[in-house]
Amino acid sequence: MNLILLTLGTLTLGGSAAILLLAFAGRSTRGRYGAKWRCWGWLLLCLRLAIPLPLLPHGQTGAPIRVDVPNPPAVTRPSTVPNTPNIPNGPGTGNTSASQGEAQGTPNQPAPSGSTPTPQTTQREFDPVRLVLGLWLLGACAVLVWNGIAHFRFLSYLRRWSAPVTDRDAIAAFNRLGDQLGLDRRPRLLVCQGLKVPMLAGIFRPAILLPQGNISGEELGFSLLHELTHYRRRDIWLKLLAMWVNALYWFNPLAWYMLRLVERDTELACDEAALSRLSRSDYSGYGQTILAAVARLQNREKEGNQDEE
Amino acid sequence: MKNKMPRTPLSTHLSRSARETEIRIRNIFSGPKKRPPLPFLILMFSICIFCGNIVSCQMAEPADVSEPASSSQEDLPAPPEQKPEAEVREYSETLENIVDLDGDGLMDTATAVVRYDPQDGNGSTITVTAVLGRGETVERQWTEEEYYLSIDSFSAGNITSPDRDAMTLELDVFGSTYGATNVYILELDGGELTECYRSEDNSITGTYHEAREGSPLCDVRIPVLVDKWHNPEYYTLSWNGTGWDLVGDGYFTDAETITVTGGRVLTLALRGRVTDEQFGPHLIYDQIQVFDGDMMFNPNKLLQTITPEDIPADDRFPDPYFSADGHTTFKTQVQIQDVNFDGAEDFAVLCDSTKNQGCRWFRWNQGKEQFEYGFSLAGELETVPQGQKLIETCYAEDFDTLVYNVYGFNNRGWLILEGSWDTLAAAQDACKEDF
Repeated sequence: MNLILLTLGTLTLGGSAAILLLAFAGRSTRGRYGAKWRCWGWLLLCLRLAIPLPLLPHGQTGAPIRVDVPNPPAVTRPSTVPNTPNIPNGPGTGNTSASQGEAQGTPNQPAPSGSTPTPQTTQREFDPVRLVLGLWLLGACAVLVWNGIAHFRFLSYLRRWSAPVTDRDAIAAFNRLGDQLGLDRRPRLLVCQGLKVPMLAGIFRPAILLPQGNISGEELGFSLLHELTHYRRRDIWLKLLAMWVNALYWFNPLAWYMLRLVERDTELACDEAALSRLSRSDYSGYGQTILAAVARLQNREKEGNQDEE
Repeated sequence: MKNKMPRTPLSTHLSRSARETEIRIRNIFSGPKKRPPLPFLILMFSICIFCGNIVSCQMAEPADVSEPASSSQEDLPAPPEQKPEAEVREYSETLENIVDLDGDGLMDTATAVVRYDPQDGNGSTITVTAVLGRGETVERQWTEEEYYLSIDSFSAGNITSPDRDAMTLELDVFGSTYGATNVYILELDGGELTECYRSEDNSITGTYHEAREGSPLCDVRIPVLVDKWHNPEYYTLSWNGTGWDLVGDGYFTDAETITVTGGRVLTLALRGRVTDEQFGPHLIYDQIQVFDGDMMFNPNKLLQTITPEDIPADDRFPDPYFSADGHTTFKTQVQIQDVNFDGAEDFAVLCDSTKNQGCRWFRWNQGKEQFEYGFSLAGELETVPQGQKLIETCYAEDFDTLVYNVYGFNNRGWLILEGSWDTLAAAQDACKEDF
């Protein structure tokens, strides 16, 4: 029990240092180096933090091969082992013979104090270790349940308000870009009411969601390219891993910060990967698409506020 | 449309933050990026992977505790005129925050240091220090005269109590041909570290802890030397509530790997024991088990079990046992060789205590995926691939003159004696002529 907490403490401190270092290195090299390497860094860090247990057992010796004995002869240690070459005797005691009586009982081997194999019935009044462990588990479960509920609410919304895309241009662009990216398996393409900007969602049956009606032409192409690149890079899996780590280290503010950085860096890396398939003249259009999407989101927010008023 | 779409963490939703958008736009227009240099990547990725080792959670030790150096060979001053053999040696092992010696639920740290100074002539000094979770420090020091010891292993477990750990310290005896060790068990009793067990003679390196079935306690398994040709016999040391029980397995297990058809590796586990026979072999194998795979540890698929009783009666070598005595002319207890020229290794075990050293040969049957008893021949066999012959070297009936028998295989794969010669050269020539 203590081992888990100690490992958790060690990992959260070491992980915090790694997060800060990675964030600092990312910030200072953002102009020179792509975001892809930072995504790999986050992936490795998340993989290490995802298992809060020591990776290497301490001082364990492997048991040599043992064969089952049908009727094991319970042999008490003989006083001498015949045919045994001389090796140095046990030190210090002067007891070179190991008679049965000495082996089992033992004036020469003082008994450990007080304890027997039977479980003790004494109760501890207050165990801070258990309390801390309980709190940690409670927090981790709360974060996981919160995220799980959010995802299930989203899925049920999707079941109610989404439908397969029927627009021929969108389907043609989707297929063309899928071929371009060499995708053998592709996500579903759905149109969803209430959605303002395209996005990729889901783990096992991912879908690209398009807003209803108001997106077409070059903007549609750039959006689909961006989301298909997310799908190709398996960014949702990285986010899931980061979410798990965040749930385990919910008490560490840097874990929440890391989650944000993972989201940002996946977006940047996705942009870079998408741009590598476009000509420089398209960069402007791609950037305009992002700005337009953000503008739509902000308009929606204002509309929402007005509705509430 | 007043539907408010719920957000999910498992999506690539767009951030509406102006700052994030600015970063993305800048990133787009700053053009293609380079890959970072490899040393930079290695450094950053190493930090990510080994972040658990960057920081260590442990109790701060009191300033007045004189902590021995963890690897003091470099730290200790060595007079320049001293030869390497006469240098002060110091070894240390630490169980850092993984033991609970006092059962208070707080993790303690225990350190064992062994120091050997040839100048003072006092042998090795062993110091075990425990820094308890509450900050208190306890220490036990003793000397083993005339021994140069080093630490083989230092481990902890619920050996004497389900609530607190005891420590097992295994020290190697320098210069021992067969890896002799001293095993000590230490526990915290009444605020003091006490030695509650030390091994007798004949224990060798390889002590480990093993969970006791149906009990929160664990046992200590101590290997004891059988002889230099065999693996040790393990003894189980267990605390019974009032004292120690030390019970031997009653057998040792030798292991050999063997490669059969298609490069498949099998493990032979030969269970041996000491007999009380006055005129027979001192050590015998009473069972040979064949496991799939090269698994010296925890084999899991048993292919077959061979016992001496499975072997049909043999007039030439009638003894009904597999001898495991070490004083033979063979290099190993088990002979491994492809004797029927099928590309799969076969094996033999000794079954004879005479000078002829008869061996039972077991041949691999690929169809049955088992070894089958083939034949018994004397001594080490010489194989002659040309013509697929075997040359057996054995003594004549007077047990004084050597005879060289040449064998071949008939169409059914049975071994046929083809002739006997007085010299090995003559037997080899006969094999070539036949070919």
